[in-house]
Amino acid sequence: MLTIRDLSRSFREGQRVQRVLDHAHARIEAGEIVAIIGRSGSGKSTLLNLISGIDRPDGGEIEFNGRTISALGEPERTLFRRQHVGFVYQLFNLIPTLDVEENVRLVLELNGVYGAAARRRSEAALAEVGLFDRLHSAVDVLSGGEQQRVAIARALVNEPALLLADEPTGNLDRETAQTIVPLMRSLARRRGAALLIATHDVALAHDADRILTLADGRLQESHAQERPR
Amino acid sequence: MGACRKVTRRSDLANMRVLWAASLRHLLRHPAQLLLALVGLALGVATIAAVDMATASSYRAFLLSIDAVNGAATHEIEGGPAGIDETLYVKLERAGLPIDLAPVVEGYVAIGERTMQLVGIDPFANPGFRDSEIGPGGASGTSRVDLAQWFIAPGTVMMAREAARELHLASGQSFALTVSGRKYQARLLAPISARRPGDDAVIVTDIAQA
Repeated sequence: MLTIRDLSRSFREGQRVQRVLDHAHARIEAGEIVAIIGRSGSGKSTLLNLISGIDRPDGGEIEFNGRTISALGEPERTLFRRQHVGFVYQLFNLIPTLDVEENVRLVLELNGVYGAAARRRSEAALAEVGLFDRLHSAVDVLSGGEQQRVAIARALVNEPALLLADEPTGNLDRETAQTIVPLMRSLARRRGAALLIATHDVALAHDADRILTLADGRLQESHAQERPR
Repeated sequence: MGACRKVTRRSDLANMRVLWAASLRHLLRHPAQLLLALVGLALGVATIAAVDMATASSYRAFLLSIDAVNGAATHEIEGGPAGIDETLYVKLERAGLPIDLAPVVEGYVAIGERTMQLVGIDPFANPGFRDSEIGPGGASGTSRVDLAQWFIAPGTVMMAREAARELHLASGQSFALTVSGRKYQARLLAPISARRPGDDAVIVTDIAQA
């Protein structure tokens, strides 16, 4: 479903070139839950940005269901992201001038679903994350955990085939964090979507089907005995 | 957002109520920002409109001045930055066209702080000038002036009485003017009456001097 081949990406800092990804390889199947672990600054966010088409690689390619995403132009990558990718961020990135339901519905409207149909689907997505009673609350009065659940509903409401989460628990307390990853996992499983969670917290990787470690710009499969307990 | 604009149809945008609500509420939540944005827009539009009006008005005044000196033109041949080959005028004159031809050289000169339109004309070729308000047969009083000076004294010019008064110049007085950064000495032959708007922004000289 998702194939990463020879992926490279560098950033220039003054005279210095920082090679964040160096001929990275990976293959992720549909419906798979994969954790990408690595220390802060190892390139996890860069990898997710490349997979979603927000950024373009310096070399290598990303193939999604037979389509080479890295070769697409900006408008096509935007369409691809809009139709096939859901993104959950560490800082939620909700729109403060919209209420809970509107934040979720916006994704549907951007995908051409309007009116009552869009409203029904956004309400159903919010019910799945346990926020049906907060449909018309302002997002800035919600707790961090609730805001992240709105972000998860928003990421999944368009039924994407790929759900990307970049440090989704980084801004939450440990107790709340422990509920977020299982929630994403169960919702992704129910939809048959692949879930990639980038985190520096190895404890969160427990529930993943596979763990990929990002170090020195390369992705390495963690073997069963190396998996964090 | 640039890419989003490219992949979103205009008809879709009209249906995106949530998107419009987000924008509108943002503006309403920040009234000072909204006010400043509106004031900025209004100032911008007003500035452009004012510059446009001033340009149109000065161009119109210039056209009126040219008409006053030259008579109204029915046809015009305009040169670009390089001007027009002088032999073209000779060829056209010899072609026996059923219209009067009058060469004009135009440019800008600075007299002190004031910028004026320089118009160089050929009085012999220009019947409009002979009969115009500021020509020797006009009502401005220049007929009493010795027009021989026009041709023989270098730097001889005429300008509207109002302009001469503002520049503190009298008949026969010499003054300095600047053309493209170079200074020249000129002499006012006689002030002439300005009858139309823009006449006071024109300085007239012989085409050979212009």
